[in-house]
Order: sequence, then structure tokens, then C-alpha cells
Amino acid sequence: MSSSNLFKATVNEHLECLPKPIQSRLYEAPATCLSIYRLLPPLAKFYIMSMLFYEHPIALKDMSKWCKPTAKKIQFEALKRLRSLHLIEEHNKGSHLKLHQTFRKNFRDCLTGSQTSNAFGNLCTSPDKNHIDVKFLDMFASQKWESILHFMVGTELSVAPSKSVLSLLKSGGLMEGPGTSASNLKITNKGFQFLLQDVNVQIWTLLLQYLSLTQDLNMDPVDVLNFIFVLGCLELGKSYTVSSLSETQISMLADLKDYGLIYQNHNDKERFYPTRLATTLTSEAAALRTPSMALNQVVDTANSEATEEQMFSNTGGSIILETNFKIYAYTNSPLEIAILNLFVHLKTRFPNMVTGQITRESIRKALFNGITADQIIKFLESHAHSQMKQMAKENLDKKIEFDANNNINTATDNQQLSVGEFGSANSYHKLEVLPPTVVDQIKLWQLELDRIQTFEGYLFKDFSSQQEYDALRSYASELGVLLWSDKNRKKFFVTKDGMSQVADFANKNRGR
Amino acid sequence: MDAVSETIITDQKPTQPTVDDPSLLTVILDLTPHGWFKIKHHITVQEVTKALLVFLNAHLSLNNSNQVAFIVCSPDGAKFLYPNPGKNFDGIQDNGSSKGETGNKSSNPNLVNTEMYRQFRIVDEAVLEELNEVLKSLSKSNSVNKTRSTLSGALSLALTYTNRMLNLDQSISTTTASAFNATTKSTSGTSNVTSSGSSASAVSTNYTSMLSRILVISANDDDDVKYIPIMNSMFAAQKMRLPIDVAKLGSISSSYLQQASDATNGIYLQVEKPEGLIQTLCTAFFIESSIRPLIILPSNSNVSYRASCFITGKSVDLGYVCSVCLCIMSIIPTDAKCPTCNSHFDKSILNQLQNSVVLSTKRRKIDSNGRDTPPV
Amino acid sequence: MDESDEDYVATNNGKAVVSDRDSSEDFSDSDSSILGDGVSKRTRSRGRSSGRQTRGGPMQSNLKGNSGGYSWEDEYQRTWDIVKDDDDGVGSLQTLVQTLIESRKKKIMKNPSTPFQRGIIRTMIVIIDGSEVMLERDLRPTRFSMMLSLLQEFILEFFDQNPISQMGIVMMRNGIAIRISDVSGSPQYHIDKIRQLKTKQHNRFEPKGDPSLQNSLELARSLLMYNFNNKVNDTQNSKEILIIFGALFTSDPGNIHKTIDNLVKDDIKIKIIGLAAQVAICEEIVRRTNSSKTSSSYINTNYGVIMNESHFKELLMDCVIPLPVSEDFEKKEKKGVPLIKMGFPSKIQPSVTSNSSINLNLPSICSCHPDEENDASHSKEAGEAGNGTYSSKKVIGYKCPQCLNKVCQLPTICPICGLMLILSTHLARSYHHLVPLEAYKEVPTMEEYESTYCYGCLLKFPSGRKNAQSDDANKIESLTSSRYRCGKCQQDFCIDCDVFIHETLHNCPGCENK
Repeated sequence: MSSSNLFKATVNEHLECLPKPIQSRLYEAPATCLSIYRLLPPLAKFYIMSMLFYEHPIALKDMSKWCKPTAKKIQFEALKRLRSLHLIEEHNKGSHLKLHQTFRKNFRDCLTGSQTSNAFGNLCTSPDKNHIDVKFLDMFASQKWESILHFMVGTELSVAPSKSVLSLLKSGGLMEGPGTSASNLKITNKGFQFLLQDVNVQIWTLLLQYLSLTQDLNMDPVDVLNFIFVLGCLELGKSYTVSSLSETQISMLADLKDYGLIYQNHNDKERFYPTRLATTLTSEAAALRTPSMALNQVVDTANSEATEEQMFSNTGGSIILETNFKIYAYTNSPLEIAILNLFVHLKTRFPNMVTGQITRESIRKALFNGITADQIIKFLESHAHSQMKQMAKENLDKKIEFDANNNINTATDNQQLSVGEFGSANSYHKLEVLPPTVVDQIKLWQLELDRIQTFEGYLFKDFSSQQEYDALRSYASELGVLLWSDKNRKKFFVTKDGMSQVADFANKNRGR
Repeated sequence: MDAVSETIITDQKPTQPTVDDPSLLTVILDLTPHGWFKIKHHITVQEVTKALLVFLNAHLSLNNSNQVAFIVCSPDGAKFLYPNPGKNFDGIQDNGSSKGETGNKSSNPNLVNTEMYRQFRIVDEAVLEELNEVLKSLSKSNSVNKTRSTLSGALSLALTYTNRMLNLDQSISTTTASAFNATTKSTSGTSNVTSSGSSASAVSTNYTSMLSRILVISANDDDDVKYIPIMNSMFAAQKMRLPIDVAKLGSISSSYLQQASDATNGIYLQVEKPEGLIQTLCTAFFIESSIRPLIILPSNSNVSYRASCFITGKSVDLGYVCSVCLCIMSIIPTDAKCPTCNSHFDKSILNQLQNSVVLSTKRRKIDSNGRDTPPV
Repeated sequence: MDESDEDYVATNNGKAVVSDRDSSEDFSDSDSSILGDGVSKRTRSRGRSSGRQTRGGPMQSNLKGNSGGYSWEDEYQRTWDIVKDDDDGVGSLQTLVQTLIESRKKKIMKNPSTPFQRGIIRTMIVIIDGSEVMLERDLRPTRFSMMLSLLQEFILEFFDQNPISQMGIVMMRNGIAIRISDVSGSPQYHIDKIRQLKTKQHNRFEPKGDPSLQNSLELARSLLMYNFNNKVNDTQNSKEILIIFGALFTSDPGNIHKTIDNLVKDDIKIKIIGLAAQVAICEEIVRRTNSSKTSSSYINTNYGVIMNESHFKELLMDCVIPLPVSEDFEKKEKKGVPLIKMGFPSKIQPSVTSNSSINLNLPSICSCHPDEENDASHSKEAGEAGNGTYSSKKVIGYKCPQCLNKVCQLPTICPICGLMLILSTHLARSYHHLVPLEAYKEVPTMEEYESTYCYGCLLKFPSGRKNAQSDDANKIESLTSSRYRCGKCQQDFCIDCDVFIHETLHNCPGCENK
């Protein structure tokens, strides 16, 4: 159980867990507003935007009419996110909604360009003596970051990461051992999982860990968060002045440099450069693959002096997974091999690739280490060779065509052929980069281990009539919070989150 | 047994997050002076531009890799305001650049707050500066065809641009794309404009699928547009599954734009009171393609599917069609010859048609109550 | 076998001809002429030449090798010999690039640049064979499902090319004729019906029994006649029947020759595509109904027997093109072409609430389905196929501009005032044929160019080669300028825009802005 919510501490959840006063203070910085906005789900973004320039609170029941009935669940989740971030507030006894005032003002200013100066960092106006270009920054960032990862898997390195990094790794539970000296630390299960994540998630994990550390050091978490978000809005390849930063933020610079988020010259403490790791902090999933890809490329070039053409040719990953559970990885990075070793039974190693086999034992080993099947699958997916992606795309096209010809599933959205099929068939068909057999098997192997799933929630029972039961049950299932229901005994069970909503609905119904 | 079968265990999956793919928004602003003159008491081009800039910023703020393009069409022709590869608007930041900054500032001191978020500022500056130029040249040019609309040209430009952005997906197959890679690469090497700029980042994101849509803002009331090119653009957009949203300012609805948005599943709104345009833009026109399936779209259910007469250029709802080339005529040509394909019309049929009463082709007012208000 | 051979030659040729593109085009010209009056006339010749011309792919020049003779007369060339590697390895890539561009350019050429002469409005009944022989597996997976999937493509293409035509589908099965779909102008309706047919193959509509030409012809005839009984636009319609016939026999209840007489009397034209071999009665039907002085040529064009799957498709797609103006061409010329009065109705959707954003879609009664019960069963049937088209169709209606009556489906003939109603977009779909776009010309390679960016998409063009002199002449020829210029507006476009503009958009952005 613990494995699945171990990395729950992604940014959003962290933000949601912050107390309201701190959130309100966060919203005072336009950069933070922008970043938080970007992290929201699309529907929530739409809600915010539509309320941004509208002066009056919006009636809740009007709002529910915007969405099609089928989208109720998504709407519910979007509103939940907004509520827990306190971006929307209830007004007029819960019948109306309005935006958080500070957020509203600052985000508006941000869009109209009338915000206070310094909101997005101060550019350094004087030219830098040392010429620093993007390539250099990329090199620097990847070097720093890779060295941390390499250190974790225990690759022999000339330089160990700095003390602050080590203590962070240790306090985050990613590594363990007596003392903080580099040689004593050993990677933990949590650390293995950490390695499987996307670069951005990794950075955020460390930054959030850092955040909790700073709280112990009596640094202002709002200041720290704000600075992180400002970093996300800075521009790559430009230098910014240190002088405009607060005390806390200046003290952060050294640490951030250790993680490779910013670059600062030894001699010139007056300016800093954000690296790609920093500027892409607030990009979400799809867009996020880009920076990590870019990083991979840089690493590649650093390793093998590849030409630019090669850089373009090997965008994407390096792993080919076959239906017979054989895996081929075109890599010679010890890091990637070490990660693969976590869940693959590696067999042969060639100068530019390794081959291996996914077996029940190898997966179980990983699972026992606390790595989840989803993590493995996601890792394989995001590192899949471009050839695999291409094949998957072709297969998908074929499948859509086939289904369209055979009237499967797509009849509803094909109904307006002449009006254009905008409800594209993609919602029914998912791109399967990995062979489905392997994916299913990995999931099955995980299911072997945990056969009981537990949910926290509430049982609804003792309904007076079948109608009442039906109404409430269908409401709950529309919201997507229904876990179990029994028609004959008129009982059903909802998740913890959905309790209040369903109860509200029940009370309202009873009142009528 | 029954009891068991009645028990349902709902699969508690996290709702698959609606994809937040990067999207391209192409805004087409119709500058035809005639239309703007008519609504000058309500709103000016400047005010609309302001609202549009905020709208563009809002679109950019959705996602790091979102893109915008801005096209104006005036009687002088359609033109890209942004992106404009010929000019470099991030001149401020460019190599060392304090010179650029001051230069830029002095030339147009208060165009855009320089403290603005960079992505926003580049777009806004480019649009404003270019727009001023266009407006200047527009006021200078004394061309007779002040009412001429080049909307079809603007739509064509928008479509070709979108096509390119969408096609970056399969960059391997397109030969020029590779050439393009090479060129951007070389330019980035020399002038230090790298992936944060629009073009280069597009190359690197090439396998995420791009969504796109077009927004047309027009105050042009004339139906005297090039019918065939607009229709062609419309079908092209339909094939590309590219919604064309239309914000029609003023009190008269444009049947062609209406048809275009209806055929492409876009949103058509007639903004009769354009003072609060920003709110309309941020609600009705802010619905991204990714959430369109979820939201009840504000739409105009009464679409006039009138066609354009090939002889007079006026729109008709009752006309004559040549059976050879399908060209539409509002009047029977005097020489009994098809104006397009030159075939002779059947005399007896002509007589028959002329004898019957031809209804006036005057346009009927469409009941504006039938229109929906945007979700507010 | 035929196919694979050609494929091989195609690749072979494609690579070899790279450098001199003009000459290859010459070949294709001479090819088509040879094919036109060539040896293998039979059923194949027309299908071939016309099909190939419209497609215009590299196949056309296939039969000819590099040196002008047939490819099998050429010396055997190994593929790895053809690809010439330049010293630095760049050249091969460039030739590859060139080939790609070539193929793209050729693809563009399929659009004829002469104005397209549209035939008269057609009403076509497609008779498909649902007899036992259709289960034969000589076409994959079976004749029947192959036919159905081709038919779907055909329907789309048919309505794309003939926007104001109508179609109906009839199936011959177990000795009787079954109406699959009513005469209608909506492609989606027919495709839905075909889909239903596909899914229901295993019960009611499974191919079974013997075909009956007479029954189906009579049904088709009555459908055609029923459709014209209102006499509105009778004169300019052409009535056609297309038969896809898999069997080699027909079991009829009466004298089929009488039926043929009636068909001739009603001026109905019949085309037949045979899936197995020529059948005498089919030949007779075709000959009689397409009566003409030059009867032999009519048999060739109107009665085809397929040779393979692609030929099947070719024959089918030939039927998309409107029939040649019939034997009374001269007479018509004197009379002139008909002018049709048409209405362009507005789409209306009654919504009850005007202030709330929720639409209450109230279905309203339309005049084309006055029989409510009939309509209900209709939509129920559609619902069975998991399709909500009809329920939504009832809400959305179109208002006839002449009598303000509401109809629910377009194109149609207004049941009240007899006006032909059509969406202007239906007509407009084919307008680009009227004003075809001129092909862009490639800008010759130079050292410097006027344009830096593609006019359409702002793509940066590669700059001119300054050091061109230093390279050998061979190389310069293989290089391209990557610019394609519109002859009218003198704007340069990239190859992607060029293709997009000619294949999809049919507008030149530059000319539009002139």
C-alpha cells in the first residue's frame, strides 16, 4: 500500500496541503500565480479564466450547466482542486463562487502586463565578462544532476555531490546509512523509485524535501516557493541580478547551484543563470518530456561528442521491448543500465547496448523494492525507442480504421462525418507504445502481491425507498466516487472525498 | 445468486487527465476599415487589440509550449504580425543587448511594460508594433477598394501555417523539415536564439501532438467576399479538423463566417455590444480543443446557409444553378449562357422559370433571440 | 502477381530516373497513349488508362525502363548498384530528398488543371449481390465484405464528386431483392446502412441463395420511378443502376427481357461490374440500356469484369465520374443545358430558453416525415446500430426559403413547393474544380534568392549556395532551391505548403492577398 502513495508529494498535492494563509501569501507573487495556474487541469484553467474578468460571483448552479452531463466527474475534480488550493471561495452561503481576491488581482496584472516590477526576476543589464551560452548551461545542469543520480546508483565518480545534496538525499529517505559521508550512504527502496521518475518529478521531489528542510531552518516557505516559481518563469541563457532577491532567496542560491538548477560563477556573485532544469519546472506532463529529452541529448553529446545531426536523430528513448519480454536498450550510460537492472534480468552487454529479459523474478524483485508496476511501465514508455513509438502510431491508425469499418465503438462520434469528426476517436483508442502483453503481465505480477485493496470511505445504507437509493447511487457514480453498490440490500459505498458531496445531495433531496 | 449479480464494484480509477497538449491559436483580425467605422461608437481597433493581447497572453499562460500566431487582413492584403521571422523582437535580450533595449524603448516607449513575462512581451510587442505599421500604411493608402476583404487570404495563410505546425509531427517524411532543422540549428548557433523562441522549441517538441484552432475577429458586414476561396479554406479546415471560431462584431451576422464555423465545429458568436469583448473572449472563445467535448458550447443554432451569386457577388437563398458547373446565379443571365462554363441554357426551362414568380431574394432578418448567450 | 511486379519496377524506376525528371514525364505521356490504343483492350483497357490517369502515380511510367524499352528488356539491375554513393556520402541523401520531392510533385499533378465538366444530376441505384457465391474467398476476406468496404469508399467519393446526386442500395439475396437503403442524398445514411449490413452479416443479411437480376432490376426501376414521380426536375436527371454481380447466373421469376425493355423505355442506364466472368445476359442488359451506335465501346466501359482487387476498385471508382453526355448530345446542345432553381435553406434549431446556456432541444415536426410512427421506427432502427444521427437530425431542421417549411435532411426536394433544397456547401465542395489552381514552378537553383521565408508558413528557406562553383556541376543539378513559385503572385512556397495548397486548400494565399 505504501508504495503507491509514496511519491504522492508532487507539487500540486504539496500546495494543496498548505494552510490557507500561506497559500494566500503565495498568490501575492505574479510568477507564482502563473505557475500554479499552469499546473491546474485544463477544465480548472478554463474556470479560472472565465471568472477572471467577470466582476460578480458566479452561481454554482450556473456553473454546473457549462458542462455536459457526461463530464460531471471531471468537473467535480476540477472544482475540488480549485477549492483545495483556495483559488475559489464560496460566496453567499455556498450558492455562488468567486476567485481568490489576491490571486485574481495578480493573475490579471500578469496577463495585462501591469504587474509590479521585479515579478519575473531582474535581468542583469551589464554584460557578463565570461561568455555563458545555453549549451554551457545545459552541460552544467546535466552534469550536476547526473552526478547526483550516478552517486545514488553508486557509480564511481570523481566528485561526490556536495554535503547539502547528501543530507537532502538522506533526509528524504532516498539514501540511508550512518553519518552523511558519501561512502557510507546506500540507496533505499524509495531511492530506487526516485530513479524511475521523470527528471521533473525528481527535481520537485528534491525541492519539496528542501522546502521541508528550510522550514526547520526558519526560512520562510513562501519566500522559498516563490523563488522556485520565479525560476520557472525565467528565461534560459539570460543572467539575472542577485541584488533584487530577498535574504532567504540568496541563501538558496548555493543549494540550487548544487542541484544544477542555476549557474553562478565563482567570481561573479552578482548574477545567476537559470538552467533548463529550472526554466522548465512548471511545464506539465506533455510539454515536460521535452526538457528531459533535451537533457538526454545533451548528456549524449557530452558522452560521445555526437554531432548535431545525431542529436536530432535520437530524440526519444533507447529501449526496445518485444512481446516475448526481451528488452534491448541502446545505451551505454551506467545510470540507465543501473536503472534497468532494477527490474530487468540483464543478459549481455555490448559496447552500445544491453539486452535482457523481463521475468517474473526480476519484476518481483523490483516490486519488493517498493517499485510499482505503473512506475516500471511509465519508465519503459517514456524511454521507448522512437521506432517503437512509430510502430505504435501505425498500429493505432490501423486499429482506428478497422474499428471505423466495423462499426465498433466509434459510431457515436462518426455520426457527423460531413461536419468533421471532432470528437476524435482517440478517446477510445490509446496509443500503446509497449506490447500490451508485457504491460498486462507486469500488472498481473503486481496483483499477485497485493490481492486486497483497501479504500477509506463511507457506507450508505438504510434507504427508505428504492428511488432514493437509485437517485443517490447514480449521483455518486456520476461523480465517480462510487466504489461498491448492492441493489438488493440498498447499500453503497463511496470514497472519502465524495462523502461530503453525496451527503449534501442526500440532504437536499430529503429536504424537498 | 441474484444478490451477487446485483452487486457492482466500481473500478476506482483516477480519471484519466484530459490531455493538456500544447496548442496553437491563430488569431485573424479583419481590419477592413468600413466595418470598424460602423461600430466606432462601441469599440475601436485599439481596444479590440488590447483585449486580444490579453487573450493571447491567457492562451500562452495555459501551457509553456502553447503557440500563437496573429494575422491581420486589410484591403492591402493579409499579413503575419506574429510570428515574424524577419524581425527579431527579443532584441532586448539578445547578445548583450543593453543597446537593443534602449533602442527599442526609445522608439516606442510605452508599447508594452518591459517587466512583463517574457513570452507575453515578445508577442505583444511584435503585434503592437506591426499593427501600428499596418494601420499607418492603411491610412496612407488611398485605394478605392476600401471595403475589399482579404479574409480568404488570411484564412489561407493561417491554414498553411497551421499545416506546418501540425506536420512537424512527422518531420522525418518532410524533406524541408530536415532542412529547417539544419537552418534553425545554424541560426541558433550564431545568434543565440534557442529553444525558448517559438520556432526552435517547436522542432524539439515535435512528437507531442499539436492542437490548433483559428479565431476570426471581423467587423466587416459586407457579404461581398470571395466566396470560393472562403469555402475552399473552410473545407480545408474541416479536413484538418481545425475549428474556426468567429467573433463577429457589429449587428449584422456574416453568413459565410457562420457557415465556416458551423462546418468546422467552431464557435460563432455575434458580439453586438463589443465593449465587454475581453469577457466574451475569455469565456466563450477560451474553450480549448481539449475540453471542447466536455463543455456545452455556446453556438448559434440558426445558421444561414446562403450561397453567393456568381454574377452579382451578393448572397442568395434562392437561386439558379447551372447543371454543368454548379455555379449559382441570382438572376437568369440575359444571354442565356452560363457565365462560368459558357454552356447554353435550355430555352424551354428558361421560359418556364421566368414565368413563375421569382421571390425576392431580400434577406430575412434572423431572429436574434434564438441565439444563445455565452456561459457567463 | 501483377501488382508485385509493378511495385518492383516502380521503386527501381523511381530511383533511376531521379536526375532527369523531364524525361520521365515524357515517358509517362507516351505510355498513356500506348495504353490507350494498346494491345490489351478487352475490359481492362479503359479501366486502366483512365484509372491511371487520375491517379497519375509513378505506375504509369512503370512499364518503361530507363532506356526507353520495357523494363524487362533492360539489363538486370541490382538495387544496390543503382544507389550511387557520393564521395562524401551527402549526395545519396540529396538524391533521396529529390526523389521524395519528385513523388510529392507527381502527387499534385493528379488534379487536372482544366475545368471539370460536371455531368447532370444523377440518381443511382446500386444493386449488390448477396447470393451464396459472395462467400467465395477469392477476394480477401470474402467477396462480400470486400465489396462492402469498397462500396463505403465509393459512396463517399460519389457524393464528393456528385454533391447533388442521390443514391439507393438494393441487395439480391435468396432469389429476392431487398432494399438496403432508400434513395437519399446523404452519404452518411448509406454508409451507416452498409455498416449495419457488415455487422449483421451473420444472420439476416448473410449472403445466401441465388441472385435474381430481374427482381432487383424491377425494384431498382420502381425506386427510380417513384423518385421521379413528382416530375419536378425530371428532365435533367440521369437514372442509373450499378450492379455488382458475383454470380454467373440469375434465377428469375419471369422474362427478364421484358424487364430490359421496360428499362430501356424508362431511359435507365445500367453498368455492371462482374466479379467472376462475363455473363451473356449482363452483356445484353448493358448493351440494350446504353443503346448507342458504337455499342462495342459501351460494353467495354459499362460492363467490366474484375481481374484483381485493385482493378475492382478502379472499376468501381470509374462509376463516380458522371456518365458521358448521352447519345442525344447534339440534340441537347441545341436545347442547351438545363438551369435548375434551387433554394439554400437556413439551419434552424428551436431552443426554448434564450437566457440560460442550456439548450432544450425540442424535436419539431418536419414535413418530410409527416408520418410520425414511421419516423419513430426509423430512428429506432438507427438506434439499434448504435447511432444517434437520426434523433439529432430531428432537432435540427432546415427552412425552405420559398415556402418556409421545415425539412430535416438535405439535399432534398421540398415536399411542399417542390423546390430543390441544398446546402450551399454541398455545391461549394467541388468549386475548386471550376477554378483550378495553377501548379507552382520550382525556382531554379541560384546562388542567392529574393525570398528567405515561405510565404505560407514562414518556414526559413535554405539560403543559396555561395560556394556553388567549387562543387562539381553534377551536384548543383541534384540540389534544389526548395522554393516553389506561384506564377501569378510571384510568391515562393515550400514543398509542404505547395502540396497542402494544391491538395487540400485549393487557394493560393499569395493570390488571395493581391
